[in-house]
Amino acid sequence: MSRRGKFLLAGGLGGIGLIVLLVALLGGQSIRGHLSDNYQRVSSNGDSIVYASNKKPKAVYESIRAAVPPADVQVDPQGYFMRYSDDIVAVTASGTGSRIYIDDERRGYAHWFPFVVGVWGTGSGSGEGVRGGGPGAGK
Amino acid sequence: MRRGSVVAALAVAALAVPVWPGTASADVIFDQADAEELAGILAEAYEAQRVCYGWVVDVNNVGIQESSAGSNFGVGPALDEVPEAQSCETTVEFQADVTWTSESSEAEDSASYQVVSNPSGPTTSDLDSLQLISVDSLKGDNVDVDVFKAVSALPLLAADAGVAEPLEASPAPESAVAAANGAPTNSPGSDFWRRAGGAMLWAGALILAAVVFAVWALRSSRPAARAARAPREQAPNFLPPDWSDGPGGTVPVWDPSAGPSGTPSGDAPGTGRSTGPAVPPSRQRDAPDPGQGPGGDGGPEDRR
Repeated sequence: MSRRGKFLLAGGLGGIGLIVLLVALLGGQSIRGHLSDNYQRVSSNGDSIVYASNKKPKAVYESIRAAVPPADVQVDPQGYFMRYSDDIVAVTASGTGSRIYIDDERRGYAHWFPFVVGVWGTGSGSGEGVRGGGPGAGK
Repeated sequence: MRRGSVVAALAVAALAVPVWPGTASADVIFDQADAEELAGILAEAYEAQRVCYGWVVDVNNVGIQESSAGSNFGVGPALDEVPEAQSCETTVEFQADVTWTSESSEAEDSASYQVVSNPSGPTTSDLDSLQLISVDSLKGDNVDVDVFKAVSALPLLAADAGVAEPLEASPAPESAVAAANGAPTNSPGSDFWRRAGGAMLWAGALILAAVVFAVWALRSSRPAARAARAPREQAPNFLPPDWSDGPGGTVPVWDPSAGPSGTPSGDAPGTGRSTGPAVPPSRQRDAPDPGQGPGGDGGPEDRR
C-alpha cells in the first residue's frame, strides 16, 4: 500500500471515530427531554411532572426504556418503575391509556416508596436489600 | 448461598427428611419471605383482576431435582395443584427449567422459560419484550431477582393482553417515606455513560486506531526515503585540497599548487568541517596509489 493510501486509511478511521464521538456527545436525550418531547404534560409541581399517553403502559414503558435506558427497573402489577441517575419514572395505567410520572430521586423514592423500598433505598419495613438470596453461582 | 453449600444442604435434607410427592419447596430460588411476598403481590392482583397467577421453576441442581412454586393462593403448590384454581377462568403462569451442573463438570448450565396462559393471554414474547429476564439471567447469580420481576409483571401483561383490567397506581404522600425514615441509596450512575458509553468506546477505539495507523504509515515510509537518498550521500563530494582531477578528468592527481578553492562550500582543508571522507592531512599524500601519486614514477620514497 502506498504512503498516500495509508494516510487516507488513517484519516478515514479518524474521521469515522470523530463522527461517532460527535453523535455520542450530541445525540440522545435526557429522560426529562424525552418525556417532554413525546408525551402530553398534565401537571407539574417543581421537578415533579405528570404526563399522559393514550398508549397502554407496556408500550409506553418499552418506548421510554428504548429511548433512554434506565439504570434499573422494578415492576409491580400496578406499574413500571425506572430509575435514572437523578430521576425516577413511573408508568401506570390510567383509563385506557397511561400516566407517566417523573420526579427527582428523593421525591420519586417517596412517591413510589411501597414499590421500591428495600430495592432502591432504605426504610422501615423494607427487605433491606435484594429480594431473594437464592442459590447463586452460575458457571 | 453458593451452589456448593446448596448441594450440601440438599443432600443432608434428602437423607434426613422424607419427601412427599407433589410437595414443592420455594427456597430453591427464593427466601421464604420473598416467596410469600411474591404470592401476596399475586393475591392482590387476583383480587382486582380475577385472573389466577402462579410460577413454577424446576431446578436440577447437580442432579438433585427441586422446585420453586407458588401462586396467588400461596407459596408451595403450583396452580394446577391448588383445588381453588379449578375455578379460575383465566390462568397465567411463569414456568422455567434450570439445570445447574457441578463446577467440575464440562457440561454447561442450561435454562428455559415460558409464559403459559389458559385459555388465552400473555405469551413468552410479551414477557421478553419487557427485558426483565433472559435465559442467561436464569443461569446467573440473580435468578431470584429476575424471576421475582418476571412473575410480578404477569398481571401487567394480562392487562396489556386484554384478559384483565389494568391496575392503577397513585403516588404515595411524601410523609409516608419520612415516617418510615427511608431514603434512596446506591446512586445508579451516569445516564450519559449508560446511553452513550458504548459509542464513546467505539469512537475512542477508532481514533486510537487512526493515530496508530498514521504513525505506522510515517515510520514505514522513512526507510524508503533514506534508501533513495543513500547513493548521493555515498558519492565523494570533495577532493583534498592538494589533489585535483587529472588530465582525463576522472583520475585525481596531486597538485601542490591547488588551494582551498578545491573544497566544496569553501571549507578550509584540515578544519574538520568538511563532510567528505576524513583523511588525516599527514596521510593524504600517502593515500593514493604510488604509481599515480606525486612523482608517480615509483620513486624510492614511494616504494617504502
